[in-house]
Amino acid sequence: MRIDVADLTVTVDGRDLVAVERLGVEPGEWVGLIGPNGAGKTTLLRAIQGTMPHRGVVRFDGRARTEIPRGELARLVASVPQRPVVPTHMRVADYVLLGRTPYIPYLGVERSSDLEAARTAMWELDVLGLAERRLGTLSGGELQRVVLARALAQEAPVLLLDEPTSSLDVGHTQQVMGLIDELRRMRNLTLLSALHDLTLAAQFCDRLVLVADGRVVADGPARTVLTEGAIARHYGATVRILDDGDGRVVVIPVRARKAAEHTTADLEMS
Amino acid sequence: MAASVPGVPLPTRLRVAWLAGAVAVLVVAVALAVAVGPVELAPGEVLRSLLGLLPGVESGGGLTGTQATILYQIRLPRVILGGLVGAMLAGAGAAYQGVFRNPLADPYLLGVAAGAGLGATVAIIGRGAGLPPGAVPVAAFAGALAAVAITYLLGRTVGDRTATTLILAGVAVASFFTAAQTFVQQRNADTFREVYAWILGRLGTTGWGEVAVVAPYVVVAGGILLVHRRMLDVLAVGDEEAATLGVRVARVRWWVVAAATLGTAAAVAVSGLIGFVGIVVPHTVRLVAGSSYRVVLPLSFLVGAAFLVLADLAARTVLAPSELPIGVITAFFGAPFFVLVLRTSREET
Repeated sequence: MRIDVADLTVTVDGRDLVAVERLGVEPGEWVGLIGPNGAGKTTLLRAIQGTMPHRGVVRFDGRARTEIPRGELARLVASVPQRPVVPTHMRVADYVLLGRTPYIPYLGVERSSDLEAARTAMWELDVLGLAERRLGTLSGGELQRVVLARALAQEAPVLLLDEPTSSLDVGHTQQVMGLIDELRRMRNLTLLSALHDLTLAAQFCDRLVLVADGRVVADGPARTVLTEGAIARHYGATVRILDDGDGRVVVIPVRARKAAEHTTADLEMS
Repeated sequence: MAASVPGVPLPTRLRVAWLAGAVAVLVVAVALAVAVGPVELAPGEVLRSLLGLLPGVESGGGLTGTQATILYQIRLPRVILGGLVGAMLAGAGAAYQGVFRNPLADPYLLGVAAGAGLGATVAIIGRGAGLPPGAVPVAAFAGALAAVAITYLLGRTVGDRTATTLILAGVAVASFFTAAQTFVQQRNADTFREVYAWILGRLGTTGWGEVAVVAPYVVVAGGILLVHRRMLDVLAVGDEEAATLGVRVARVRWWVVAAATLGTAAAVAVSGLIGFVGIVVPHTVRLVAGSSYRVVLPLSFLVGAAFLVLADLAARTVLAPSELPIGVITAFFGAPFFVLVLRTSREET
C-alpha cells in the first residue's frame, strides 16, 4: 500500500514541529526516518497515523486518511510506538489479541480467525511459548517482540515503527531487524520506521529520509543521504562513511580533532 | 473447537471454578444474613418457604406467620438491598479503575459522593420546611448526577480531554460540593446527627420500596458495564494506542462512566456513602483471579454483593440490639482483610 504525505504541518504552541511538503513510500518499500533527537520523527509518524492533530493530507493508496473510517484505518495501518504502554499484569496472549480489536465488533468477542491470526504473528516472532506469561515478567527483547506481534496480528499492510529496536542489544537488534525485513517480504508490508542508528538504517532500509528541525532535508538511497557533510551539519557529529563491501554503507563516529583543538585553544586564551 | 488446536493463544476467560466459587460465597452470605437476627429463622424452613413461592410447588412451609413477615418484609428486602448496593459499588469501582487506568479510582471519584452529600443535606434540612422524607434519596441522586455532569463538562472543555483532566476536574467539583455541603450543614446544626448518619451509610429498609428503586439501575448499569469488559482490557494500553486499534476511547469512557455513575448514584441514594467496597473488592478479585476485566468485572459484582451482605450482618449483630453504621464495618473489617490478601498474594508471586 502506498503512503503519500502532502503539506503536512504540526503546530504546537505556535511552533511548527513538523513541516513536510512531500513524502512518499512505495508499496512494499522500507523507508527509514533518520534525524537528530527532537527533529520531529516521532511527531511525523504520529501525524501519519492520525494520533497527532495536523494540517495537510495523508493518503493511503490515494485515499485521504480522514475519509477512512476509524475501524478500517486500524486494519490498514498498524504501529509500534517508541515507548508502548505496558499493562504489566496482562497475559501475553491477551496483549497480542488486542491487535485483533479492529476485527471484533464493539461488544463482540474473538472468533477463531482472530486466534489464528494472533497465533501466526506469535509464531513468526517466536513468542508462542510466552503466551501465558505476564508482560511485566518479560525481558526487554521478549517484550519488544511481543509488541511487534501485536502489531502483526493487526494484519495491516502498513506498519509504522518508532525505534523498534531501541531497547535491544546488538544481537537482538539484528535479529529483530532481520525478522521485520523477512515479514515485509512474506506479507508485502509497507514500512516506515524511525531509526536512530544510522548504520542499521543504511543496512536495512531501501531509502532514507533525513529529517532536521521538522523538515525533510534529504531523501534517497542511504549512499546519497548519509554523507559526512550532512551528518556534520544536522547531527553536529564527525563520522566516516565506509563501504561494507556488500554494496551498503556503514557510519562510524570518529573523534573530532579540529573541534577539540579549538576548544583547548579557546580555553588557553581566556 | 479452537481450544483443541495446539498453540492457539486463548484470551482470558472467566473460569467456571471462579464463577462457581463466587456464587457459592454469595449464597452462603445470603443464607447467613437471612437466618441470623433477633429472631432466628432456620435456613431449611426459609428455603422451603421460598420454594413455595414458585408456581406449582407445594412445600408446606413451616414458618409461622410472624416468621414469614420477618422474612419477607424485613430480612429479605434488606439482604437483597445490601447485595444490590454492594454489587453496584464493587462493579462501578472496577469499571472506574479500568477506564481511568488508576488503581485508586473508586465510584466516588468524579464527585458522586460530594454531590449526593449536598443533595441529601439540603433535603434533610428542607424537611423542616415541609419537604417529605422521600425527598432525601431523590435529592441525593440528583446531587450525585449533577456533580458528575459538571465534572464531565469541565473535563471536556478545559484541557486536553484526557482521563487525567477528568480526574482533576472531579477533584475540583468534589471540593466545591463538599464546601457547599459543609456550609449548609453548619448553618443548620440541629440536623447535624441525621446528616452525619446519612453520610456514614446504612441499609435501612421499609419493605421492598428501596429494592424496587435501586434494582432497575443496578440491572441496566451492571449490564452496560459487563458488555464493556473486553473494551476495558483494550483501554489498558492507553488512549493513544487504543485509538490506533480503532477504538473511540472518549465514547467508551463516556458509556462506562455514565453507567457506573448512574448505578452508583442510585445505590448512594438509598444507602448513603458506603466507602471501601469499590476499591477493596475489585482488587481482591484481581489478586486472586487475575487482572483481565473479563474476569474482574463479573466477579466484582458477585463478591461485592456477598461482601456488603456480610458487612450488614456484622453491622446489625456486633453491638445488637443497636446498629453500627455499615461504612464503619466495611472499613474496619475490609482494611485488615485487604492487607491479608495483599500479603498472601505477594508471597505467591
